Amino acid sequence: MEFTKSAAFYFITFLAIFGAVFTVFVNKLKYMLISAFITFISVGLLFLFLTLPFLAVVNIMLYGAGILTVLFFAIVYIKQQNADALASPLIPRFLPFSAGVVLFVLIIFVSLKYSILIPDNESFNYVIPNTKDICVNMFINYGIIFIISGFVFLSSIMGFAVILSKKARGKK
Amino acid sequence: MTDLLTDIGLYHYLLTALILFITGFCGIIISKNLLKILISLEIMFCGVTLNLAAFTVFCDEQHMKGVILAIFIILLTTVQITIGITIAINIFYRKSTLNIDNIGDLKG
Repeated sequence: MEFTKSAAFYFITFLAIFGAVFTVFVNKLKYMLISAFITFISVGLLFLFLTLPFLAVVNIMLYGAGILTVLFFAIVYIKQQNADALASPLIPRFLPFSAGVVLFVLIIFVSLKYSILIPDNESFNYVIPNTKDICVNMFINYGIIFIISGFVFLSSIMGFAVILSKKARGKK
Repeated sequence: MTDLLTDIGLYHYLLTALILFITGFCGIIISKNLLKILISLEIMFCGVTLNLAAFTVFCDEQHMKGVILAIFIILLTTVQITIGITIAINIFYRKSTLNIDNIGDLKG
């Protein structure tokens, strides 16, 4: 049972990473959308592995369904089929990618060398109480106000988006 | 070594989140298309949310505070991407391109 669970975790993790890499490096926008969809579904399944089903549903509905649908309509609307038709040639693109790989290897090496990724109890006791205090103050003492301000912020930005699109259409 | 592979713990999720974050970061650096940059930004936020959720599950017994924070992050990211897409469409109207090298001016 444990082996099956581990194998499923590795498979879903592979799907998430493969989808993310494919999203970044593919040229066709429709393939980019499909691979991004695979990534977001896989991340949602990883939330299920963490026994957070509500977060998984929110992630899949908002990222996997909502944003990708908006992006799909945006791509259809502007009728741009090739994502990197105007991009620079391969060699300048390869350089920042290799820099990112070097950065990744460096982070892993330093983390393993100095045991940053394997903290002891003292470092956890040092880090966690600060986060805990912030969360307690934000979500218990000021929870209602924070949620209401969040919704006001959300509706105001959505209104801004609608107004901006109407203005451009009028100019066109 | 076998225990490290079979016992899925905090560090497996952290490593996955790190890979997702760096992949999205590379996408932002490499891409010239505005829509592709937005998708890469979203992948970065996926890594951040996964990181937060993993810390919540493995370090907080109640599983509530970090989940609420992660939900807020997802909501605000959705708003951000929606605004970004709207701005991209407007830029495409005015400039007829989504290449960020050709979008250099900030004049009204």
